[in-house]
Amino acid sequence: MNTSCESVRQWLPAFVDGEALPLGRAQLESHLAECAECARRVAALGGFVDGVARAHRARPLPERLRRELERTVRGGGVHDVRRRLVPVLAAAAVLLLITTVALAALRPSAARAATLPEAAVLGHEGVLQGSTPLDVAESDPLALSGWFAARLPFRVHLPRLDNPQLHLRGGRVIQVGGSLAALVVYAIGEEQVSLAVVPRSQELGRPPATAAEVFRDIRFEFTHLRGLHVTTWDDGGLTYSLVSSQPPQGGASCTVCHGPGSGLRGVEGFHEPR
Amino acid sequence: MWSKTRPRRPAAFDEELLALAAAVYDTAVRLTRSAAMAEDLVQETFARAVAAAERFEPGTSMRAWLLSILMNLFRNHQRARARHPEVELDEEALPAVEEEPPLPFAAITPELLDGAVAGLPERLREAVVLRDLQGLSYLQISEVLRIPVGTVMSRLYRGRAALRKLLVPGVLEVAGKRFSGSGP
Repeated sequence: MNTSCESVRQWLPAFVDGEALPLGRAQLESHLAECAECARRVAALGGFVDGVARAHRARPLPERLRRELERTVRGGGVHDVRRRLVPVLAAAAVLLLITTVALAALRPSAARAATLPEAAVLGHEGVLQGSTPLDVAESDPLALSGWFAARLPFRVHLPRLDNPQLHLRGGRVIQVGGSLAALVVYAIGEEQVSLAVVPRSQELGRPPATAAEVFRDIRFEFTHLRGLHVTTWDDGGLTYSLVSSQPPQGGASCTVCHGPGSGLRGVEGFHEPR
Repeated sequence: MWSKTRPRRPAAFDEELLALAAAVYDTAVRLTRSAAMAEDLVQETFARAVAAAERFEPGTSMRAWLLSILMNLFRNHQRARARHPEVELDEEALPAVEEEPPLPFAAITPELLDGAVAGLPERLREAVVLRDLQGLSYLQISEVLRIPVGTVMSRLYRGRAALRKLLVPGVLEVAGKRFSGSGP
């Protein structure tokens, strides 16, 4: 590399991006015409940037959000009509605020769930009631694992399902305290079962367990929250909370996922919680 | 200035604002890596944009202006979560790319790109998203991120190197080639 190359190379990205250069563009182009290595680098970077631009697909704007934004923008201007409505809107806002505060006092929001079991239950209810729908509907465990991998700072490996009654419905990213967690939603017949997962290091505590069971050095804790049954355990670097309206039935519950073709270890020998 | 006697906001402003909703949402999803959080940020971004419409200077980039508002909100959100930082790739551990053997980057798929961008450290992800996905200039990025242009160039360089490194295995797989293992 000669001095000329050294002085030129730091500006090659700016050249590819069409940005202003401290040395003239013609001067740099003249150098590229004579220097095969610099020209190769420009071609490689240009190819990469073009490849990225071609592959970029903007995430589709959710229809509900689009309508919200239209309301915000078209209804949010400074119009005479709106000014006349200000007192009415203010009164409505106060009423809404009072209602919201009252409701919030009665029912904690998913965003304020401090523990994984609570977040799992609120996420489960939200999906069930449609108030916080799935971020993605996906029936393929591998695809959903990949979807989470792109959104979470940890890996969730979902097992293959070999139980014909068990169907993967999709997933949602939820919050536990200030951390992100995965909520995986299954259906067994008419029953919804949700599994929340968060890195063990991010878990902030748990509600008291009503029963516990240790199996293969893993402690399974059972509790009831908001009328739902929650089983929580640590495995590897992750903490899991499983939510269902049905009480856990020892190994029978586990074999729903840990079937022979799931790729997971078998759970023979797991018995009822004591 | 729009005051009590100011005229109604130009309809063109509203139309341009709404036309950028998908781009703002796409950026928000890539910053937060959560559709739910992205929706909240985008709603707040547009509410603030409407409230501060008189501060927008006609003739400048509305895209950059909206993304500045979004970035401020995202920063506030991140500060609130500072007690529980995400585990991310150490950007210092990502090697700069000196040698770049030719690779079939035409084989980059949207899915590969989504996964690789999400895997970038936050600061590098911001620079790459704003430049390579949203097309902002270095100067606009420096204004959105409130950093010098030189820092923009540095982050973009390292971000692209890291992105390339993350893309290589998938691109080679898509192209039906074996990864040589010699680095990006």
